[in-house]
Amino acid sequence: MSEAQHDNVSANLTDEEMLKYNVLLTKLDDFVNWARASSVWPMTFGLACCAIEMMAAGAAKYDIDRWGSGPFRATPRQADLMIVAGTVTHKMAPRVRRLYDQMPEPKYVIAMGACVCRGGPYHLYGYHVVKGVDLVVPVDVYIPGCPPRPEALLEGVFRVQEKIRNERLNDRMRVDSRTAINPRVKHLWPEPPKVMPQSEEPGMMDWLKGILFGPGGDAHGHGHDDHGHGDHAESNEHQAAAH
Amino acid sequence: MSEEKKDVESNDEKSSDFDIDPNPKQEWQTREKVMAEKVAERFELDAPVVFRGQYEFTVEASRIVQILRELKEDEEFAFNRLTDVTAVDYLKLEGYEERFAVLYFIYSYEHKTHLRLRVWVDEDDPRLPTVSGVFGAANWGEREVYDMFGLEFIGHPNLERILLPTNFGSFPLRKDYPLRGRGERDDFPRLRRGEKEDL
Amino acid sequence: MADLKATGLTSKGKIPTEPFGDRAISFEPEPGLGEGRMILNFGPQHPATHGTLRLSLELEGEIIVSAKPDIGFLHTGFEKLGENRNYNQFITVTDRMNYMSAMSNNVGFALAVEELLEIEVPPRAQAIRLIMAELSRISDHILCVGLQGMDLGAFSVMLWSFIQREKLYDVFELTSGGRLTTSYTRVGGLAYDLPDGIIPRIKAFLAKVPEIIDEVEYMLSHNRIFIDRTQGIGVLTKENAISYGVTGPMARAAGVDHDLRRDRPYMGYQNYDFDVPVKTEGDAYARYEVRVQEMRESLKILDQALDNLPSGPVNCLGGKVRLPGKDEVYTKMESLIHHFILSMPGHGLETPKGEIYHATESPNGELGWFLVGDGTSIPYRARVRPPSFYNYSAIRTMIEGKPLADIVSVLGSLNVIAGELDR
Repeated sequence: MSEAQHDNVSANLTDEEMLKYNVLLTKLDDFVNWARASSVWPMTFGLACCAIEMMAAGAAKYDIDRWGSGPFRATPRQADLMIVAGTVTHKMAPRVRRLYDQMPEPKYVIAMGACVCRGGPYHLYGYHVVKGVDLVVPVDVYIPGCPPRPEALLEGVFRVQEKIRNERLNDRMRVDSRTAINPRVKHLWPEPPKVMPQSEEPGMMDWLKGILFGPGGDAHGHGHDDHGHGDHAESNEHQAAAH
Repeated sequence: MSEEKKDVESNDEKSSDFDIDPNPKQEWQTREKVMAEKVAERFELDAPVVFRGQYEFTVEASRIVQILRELKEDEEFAFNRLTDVTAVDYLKLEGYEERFAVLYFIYSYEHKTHLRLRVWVDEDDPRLPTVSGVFGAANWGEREVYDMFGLEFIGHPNLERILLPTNFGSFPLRKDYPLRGRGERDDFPRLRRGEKEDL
Repeated sequence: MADLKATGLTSKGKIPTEPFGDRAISFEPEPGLGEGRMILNFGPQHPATHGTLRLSLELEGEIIVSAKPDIGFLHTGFEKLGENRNYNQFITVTDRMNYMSAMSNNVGFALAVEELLEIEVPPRAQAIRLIMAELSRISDHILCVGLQGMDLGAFSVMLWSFIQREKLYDVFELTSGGRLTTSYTRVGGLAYDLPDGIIPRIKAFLAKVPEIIDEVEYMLSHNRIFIDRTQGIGVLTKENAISYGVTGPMARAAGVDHDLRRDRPYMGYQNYDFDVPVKTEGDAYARYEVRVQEMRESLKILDQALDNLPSGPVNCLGGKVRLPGKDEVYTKMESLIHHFILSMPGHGLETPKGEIYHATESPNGELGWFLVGDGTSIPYRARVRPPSFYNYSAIRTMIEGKPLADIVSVLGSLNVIAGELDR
């Protein structure tokens, strides 16, 4: 019956009218962000008490899976979101940073709990506690509470999703400094990774522009990013070398 | 609602077969007293410090390994478990012989008795022999004491920091370690996503 | 690396020549190692570590030749914190120690301070503490069994056990206001009395627990994979258990017939009728069995305690230990002074000069507190004897000479809580 009815409806429509029911028009930004925001995969990264509440958020009652953040990945390589759940100590801080570095871009960080936000109960007297994980990795969303309830964690995930929805592809492709290691926290890493000397090869925007406009399509494109958004230390180094 | 009321009623009426033994401590406190007397007699120790029914003997550092071994192996005592090893820094309390004291909590599964042994450690020469050859538990316990107080256990198989990073540099549970740490919190500048750092 | 650069997909000038610097994991045998041996780094971020444990393993094939445990990734300095907080403030810190069963820690610490002060709480407070300690034992064991199943592939058990844990969270939330970090006890009593209507609620929950334990047992005890991966795995001998100071379910699974609740009763445990399950195998399966049995015994205790819950006050107000009630503070001069003395900085509890050790049977084993009182309201030294620390120190005897895959099973059965391990 239903098939026959369906046939009747479609039989009365022209091809152009049919298209109205089957084609959605949207911006590429919105479409990609919709997909990304609906599948923010967190990394399994429990440190302390907050990890139990993170587990609670993932378990049956709160079920973070309803918002696409269910698959807790055991490896940073497959994760989009790092929920730093629990006290970060000085011994752990380099590991946190290293796990963050191992995550592929685009990546987001939720600081869950008072300890991670600003040291929490150990703010005054915790000699071995990092006073906020934002000293180690850049944080997108802070969730206060000791520990925050699972609802609060869910709210934090919503904020990350909101952030993702408002991002633009163009912005994301720019070179930014967020993955570079700050020299002022170098003591955390015994041997910071060496940075490649600047080469003459085109950057990501040039590559994209090359695809969009063809080779040499944009005269101002070359080298534009390096000064606008690039790594200051490297550009300085480059200039010094040039001089 | 009716269930609640019933519960409240039943709570008020205590069932008669519920015996209450108000002080179970007496039994083991007499046991521990007898044990402490035996220990003092056997090893010719000074009179123990007794506080709240707990016995504590002070032992010289040179004798601690031998005494603990005998307490463990002699069936009369059978103190076969080392419950804990810890230390106290008496820097800010007056009336103590030395600055540091290492405390050994031992327990006998057979006699169900606790005993505490104390070894005073000199501030200038913070060393004492290890008991990790007697009790496996002393291995980590002594490492933690070393980590927190900087007391050195001679003959320990693997005496290195256990909780803190190896480059920590100070011993935090000493009383002269500042309460708020040594500026650890100022070591970290703030990083924000997308912010242009002075790299 | 070269391919990536050719596509231009990476940011310009951002590709490090060596991705991990000198910290790269070496796949070559270390000099001095035998042929075919390698070092494997296990943790601190690994799904089976349940926290922040790290093991440096020397492998020959898949057999662990030697293991070097590395702990301290969650060392937050509780003991130093204890020297700067007064006794009641420190109770909030004890929550964060063993966060799987925070109530047990609260109770253990309060009892230790009361031992130092030589005061006794009213019978109702004792009974409520006991109820809460046993409930937290159930909540710890049920999650531990679930996680042990999850590590070995039975994910449903963890979800099922978490449903029950949520119900227990509701009970804790109603009594103390917090799901996980309860801070319920105070020196000399409790923060609040039980709320109205909580007892039927606890009873309703407890009526279902045997059913749930049966379900979990049905899922795991008859599961071929679970049995194969736990029986005979991670064997801890009785001698090692005693020598390493292992306590709690781990020791009882290894044949050490000891339970502080029975052998050195505190908080009125001597009045209740319960058994102490003991196994002799000492393997991961025995630890699982002991935990399941202990939950059943806790149910027995809880049934008796709820039926015989005494009425009366929950705070001992005579000894100037607890804050007086608000109604008294507003109407009586003495109570007002009492309130001020207890809450002003530099005043507070008057402790004697003395040193005590008090131990309770927490879900993981013997949780001992060594307190040095110096006459002020702040402990001169607050040492905690963490059960997980000594339980975990025996890990080498359980995994060395065994395949790498055993570690997951062993760690799941140890129930090592990083917060308690590192403090």
